[in-house]
Amino acid sequence: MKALVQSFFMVFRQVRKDSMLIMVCFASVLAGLFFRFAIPRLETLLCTYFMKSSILEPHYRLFDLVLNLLAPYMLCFAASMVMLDEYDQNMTRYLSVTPLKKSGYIVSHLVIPAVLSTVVSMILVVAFHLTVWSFLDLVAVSIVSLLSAFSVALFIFTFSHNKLEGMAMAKLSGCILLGLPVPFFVQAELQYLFFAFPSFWIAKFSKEGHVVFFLVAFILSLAYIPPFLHKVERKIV
Amino acid sequence: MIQVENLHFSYTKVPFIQNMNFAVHSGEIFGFLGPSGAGKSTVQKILTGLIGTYQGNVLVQNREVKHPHKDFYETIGVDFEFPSLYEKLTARENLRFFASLYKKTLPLEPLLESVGLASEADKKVAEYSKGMKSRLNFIKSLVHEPQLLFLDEPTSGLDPSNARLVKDLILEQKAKGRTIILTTHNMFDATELCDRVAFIVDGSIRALDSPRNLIMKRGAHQISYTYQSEGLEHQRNVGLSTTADDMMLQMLIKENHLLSIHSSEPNLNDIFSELTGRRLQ
Repeated sequence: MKALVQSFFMVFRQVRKDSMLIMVCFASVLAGLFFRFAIPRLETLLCTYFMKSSILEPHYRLFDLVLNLLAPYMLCFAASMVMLDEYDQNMTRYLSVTPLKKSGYIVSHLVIPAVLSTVVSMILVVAFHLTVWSFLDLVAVSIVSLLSAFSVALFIFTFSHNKLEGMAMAKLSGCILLGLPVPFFVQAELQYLFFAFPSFWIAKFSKEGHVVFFLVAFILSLAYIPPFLHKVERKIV
Repeated sequence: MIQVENLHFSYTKVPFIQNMNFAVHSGEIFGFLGPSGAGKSTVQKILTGLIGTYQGNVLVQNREVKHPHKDFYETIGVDFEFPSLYEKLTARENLRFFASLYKKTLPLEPLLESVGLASEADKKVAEYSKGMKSRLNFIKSLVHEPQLLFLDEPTSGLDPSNARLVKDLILEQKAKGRTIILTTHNMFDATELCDRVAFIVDGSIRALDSPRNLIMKRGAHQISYTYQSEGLEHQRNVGLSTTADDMMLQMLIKENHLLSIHSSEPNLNDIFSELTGRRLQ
C-alpha cells in the first residue's frame, strides 16, 4: 500500500513539472466553464438572430455528455504521458521489480488516476450541467466514461514509444468521442454503424434512458480493456 | 539460494531458452557470460519474476518465481544495464523515492558517499554524466539492503577508476554475505569478481565452473622468452609441455642470457571462443 501511494504521488509530481500536462488536467474545467456560461448566451444570440425558439437547447445533453467524458479522457491521457516518459527512462521495468510490482505500477499510474478522474467528472457535471441529471444516470454514465478513458490510456501507452508518438496516438484516440453526437443527429438504423463505439451507447442510454443501452456500453467498454492490458504488461517487461 | 531445473522459455514459437539447469549458492557471485542476444537478460528477467510464462522450475529463495509476492522484492535488488532514474529529479530525490517503496532502508548519505556522489546529490540527474548515472543506478539497487543482487553490466560506461570503485562495492556486498548474479560480456570483470561463471550461447549453458578451473583445465598454453643475439632482440615461444626439448632455451638458461620469460594462460574469452565458436567482445 505504501509503495502504491508513493508511486501515485510520483505521477502527480511529474504532472506538476510538465506545463502541458497541467493544462491537460485543467482543460475539462475550462470546457465546463465554457459550456455552462457561454453556451446559453450563445443560444440566446442565435435564437434572436435566426428568430427561433431553440437551436442548441435540444442538444444540451450532448454538451453534458462531452463534459462527462472529457475529464477522464484528459486525466487518463496525462497519466499515459507520464507512463511513456517513464518508459523512455527505463523506469517502468525497474518499478516492476520493486514491491510495487507490475500490477501496482498499473494501479498507481492508471487505475487510481482513472477513478479520481471519474469523481472529478461527476463534480464537473454537477457544477456545470446544462440539463437535469438523476444521481443514478450520472453514476452510470460516469462509470462507462471511466472504462472508455482507461482503455484509451492503455491504447496510447501500448502503441507509442515516447511522448511525441503518444500525442499523435491521443489525437487518433479522440475518435472515442465520435459516438456521442450520433444518437442526436443521425437517423434511426444508420446510427448502428457506430455500434463499436462505447460513447455511442452512452449517448443513447443518456438520451433514451433504456438500461439495455447502458449494459451494452458497459460490456463494450470493458471488452476493450483485457487485450490492451495484456499488451501493456508485455511492454513493461 | 537459486535453483533452476529444466527451464524452457521463448518469446515466439521458436525455442529460445532450452533445458537450462543451474544452482546458485548463498553468498557467491555467479556470472552469466555471453554475447548480446544469448539469453542472459531473459534469464535475469525470469529470475526476477518479470517473466512468468516459462516452463520448468525456478526457485529463488526456495519459492517459485512465476507469481512472486511483493515481499520477494523486499529481498532482491536489481541494477539494469541502462540507468532507470527520474531525470527531472535530483539524485537525493531519486534515492528518497525508491527508498520509500520499501519497508526497511539504509541511510542515503553513506550510500551517496560510497560512490562519490554526496557533493552532487542535489543536482538534477539530467545534468549527470553517463558514469555518474551508472553509479547512482548501482546504489539505488542497494537502498533496501537486499540479500540477492542482480547486476547487469554494472561497470558498463564507467572509466577505470569508477569501474574499480563499483567492483570494490560489489566485493564488499559479497563480504557481507549477499548473493550476487552478475550478467556481463566483460571477461575481465567476470574473472575478477565471479566465484563461478556460466557461458550462455543461443539460450543454453555451454559451460559452468569457476573462472580459475575453466582456465586451469585448459592449462597454460606456452612460454614466451626473449634473448639478444647479434645486437638484436629475439622472441621465441615454446609449448609448456615441451620446454625440455627446446635446446635454445636450455642454452640461454645455462648462459644466463635470457632477457625475459613468462607463461601465457588462456583468458575466459579464449575459453569461451574455444567452447562456443563465438567471441564475447
